[in-house]
Amino acid sequence: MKSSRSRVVWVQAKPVSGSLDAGSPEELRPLLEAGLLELTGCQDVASAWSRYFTSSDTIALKVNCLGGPSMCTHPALAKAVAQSLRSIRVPPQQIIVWDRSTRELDRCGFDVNPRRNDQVRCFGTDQRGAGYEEELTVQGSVGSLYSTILTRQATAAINMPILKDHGLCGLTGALKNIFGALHNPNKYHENRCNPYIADANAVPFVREKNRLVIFDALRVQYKGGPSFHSQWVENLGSLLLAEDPVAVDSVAARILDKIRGQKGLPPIEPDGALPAYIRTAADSDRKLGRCRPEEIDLVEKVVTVQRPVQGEPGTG
Amino acid sequence: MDRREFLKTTTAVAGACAAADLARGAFPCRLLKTGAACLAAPSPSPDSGPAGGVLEARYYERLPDKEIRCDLCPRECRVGDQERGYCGVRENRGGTYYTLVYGQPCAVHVDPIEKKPFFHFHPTSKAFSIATAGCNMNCKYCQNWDISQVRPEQVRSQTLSPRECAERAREAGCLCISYTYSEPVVFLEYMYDTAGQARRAGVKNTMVSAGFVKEKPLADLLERLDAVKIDLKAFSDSFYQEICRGRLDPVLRSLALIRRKGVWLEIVYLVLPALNDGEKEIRALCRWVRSELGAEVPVHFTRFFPTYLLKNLPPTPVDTLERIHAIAKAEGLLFPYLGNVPGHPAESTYCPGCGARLIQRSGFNVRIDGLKSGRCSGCGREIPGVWDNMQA
Repeated sequence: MKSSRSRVVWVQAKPVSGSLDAGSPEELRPLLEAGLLELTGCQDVASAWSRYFTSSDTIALKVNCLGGPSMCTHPALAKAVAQSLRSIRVPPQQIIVWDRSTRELDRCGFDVNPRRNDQVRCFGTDQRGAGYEEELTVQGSVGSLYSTILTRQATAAINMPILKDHGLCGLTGALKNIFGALHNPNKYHENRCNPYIADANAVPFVREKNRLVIFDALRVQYKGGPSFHSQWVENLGSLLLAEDPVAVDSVAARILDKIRGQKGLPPIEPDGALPAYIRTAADSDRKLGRCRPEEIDLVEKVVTVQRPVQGEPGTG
Repeated sequence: MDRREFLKTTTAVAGACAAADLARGAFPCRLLKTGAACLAAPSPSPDSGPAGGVLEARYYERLPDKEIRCDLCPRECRVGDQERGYCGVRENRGGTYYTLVYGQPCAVHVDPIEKKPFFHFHPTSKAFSIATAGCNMNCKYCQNWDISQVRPEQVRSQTLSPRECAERAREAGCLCISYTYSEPVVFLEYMYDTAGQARRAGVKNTMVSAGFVKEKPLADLLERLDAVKIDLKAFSDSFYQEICRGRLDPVLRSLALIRRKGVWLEIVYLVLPALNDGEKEIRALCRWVRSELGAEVPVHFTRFFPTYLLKNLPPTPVDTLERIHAIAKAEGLLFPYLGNVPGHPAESTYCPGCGARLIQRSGFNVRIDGLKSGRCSGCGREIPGVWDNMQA
């Protein structure tokens, strides 16, 4: 960590009319770009993206599809990111939207495209030509094969989790999203996933490539996660942006607890503390980020979202 | 007979096994990594079982909000919708728990029974050996981690129904089917049904397991098994937790249950330098085996070679194994063996009465010297084991 504090931007959509259309890249893009400018302090979007990526990068967008089409990273948000990256001339084919399996991506409504054409690519680790590394990566408590999408194809990555309660570890967020890159996540759910989640993120290539978190909190599964349960979903209409995955998870956990409190539910940890794996990620051995509120600058911003004119051509 | 002659006469047995492997199209399976390839699997037949190996699991309880609790192993995984248990081969789909590997072995092979190892169960016979992906532990030294520590979709499997499996075992001239390589407990439904088909076909059943399983499923399974080999990882719970992600007590309970049910039992204890080779631990193990299971239970102390997540340890020194073998004998075990040390005298079976060599072994080369109808040819002492139909 270069600076002594971590910045997390929480952008909330305020639609001019009706509710936010989370299926529309055109509606989500202003929200995304406002958050990006706030995070970086830049005056224009191209400058902001240039903080993290160049046009020669192959950028992997790690989405989360476990909860199915009703509780996944919104495909429209991934599209909005891809569209916005054009501002620094990243060719679409150098953007890979990915998760564990192509089937899951397809089921969630992503435009699956494993081919090297002039479109954004989208496929799972199980896609022919992808797969897992042949050699184990060992880091602390973790010994796993990582997805070659992350290890070989991508030169940089954007972590795009969703905000969900998780029955076994408290929160599914930025740090836990790495489980989708491992061949054996089932081995790491004991002890509330601690220290496994932290160790899986402490691998050098994960730290180096994951440059940005764009946290989809448009809909929140505040109970019953990680799978979808319609009765426990809150439309938050928000995105969280940060460079620090620990800080953004800390903020996300507080948001989750706040929603749960409003619904008469106890916090995700009995004592209201952060999930243990988040604290482990911030410890002096791993130093993956900051989790204490006094070390995090949380910037809240409300963004007015104009509904695009009907029939306006999309840019996806 | 000198060593050269011994090897010459016994190589034929191993050769026959290898030839059978090829003749039956058996293949070892590898993790589907980039560029890796497996030999082609046979096409599914009309009796190929459930589509894609998915069948409702046995031994689980439904919980509120589409959660389930698995009652197969002591881990008792609580699994949310769309999630899998620790084993990676059982999945909750909408509140119903499924096995994903029914009739989907990723390894099919004909092995000498000594490879399991069983030394007192039909020596020189062949075992039709199968495994699916998955394991409910994660031993840092697993030699088969590329099938045990992966999910079913990460290995190439073939479709082989319980009936087909039994038929192929019989056609291959195998005395038994051996459920082995990974952890058979995690494919219990497939194993149980296959064992039933095998018995009807006149084929026996053996299981090679870590024994980390709850009592009810194990008791049900033992009704169809003829022999079990348990990998006892250590005699310390901390070792089980830190090195294997398991617990010791449930394994000890499994060992006791297998003996109570009268199913033939052998134990393997892989000796890891500095981790489970202390004299105190070995003595405690041997005393427990003698008092709770019986001195006649064979215990194989085998040599470790670096692999998987334990590549920083050296191979077990042979003198360490010999020291442990001496402790086991001093503690009264009648059939302690050394394993992974081909040609060592402690691979062979000796009569506890007169000391005569009964079965000579060097690796998988086996010669039955002094055993007749389950008795020592010299002094007539009965030797515990399952010896009928053996090749003399």
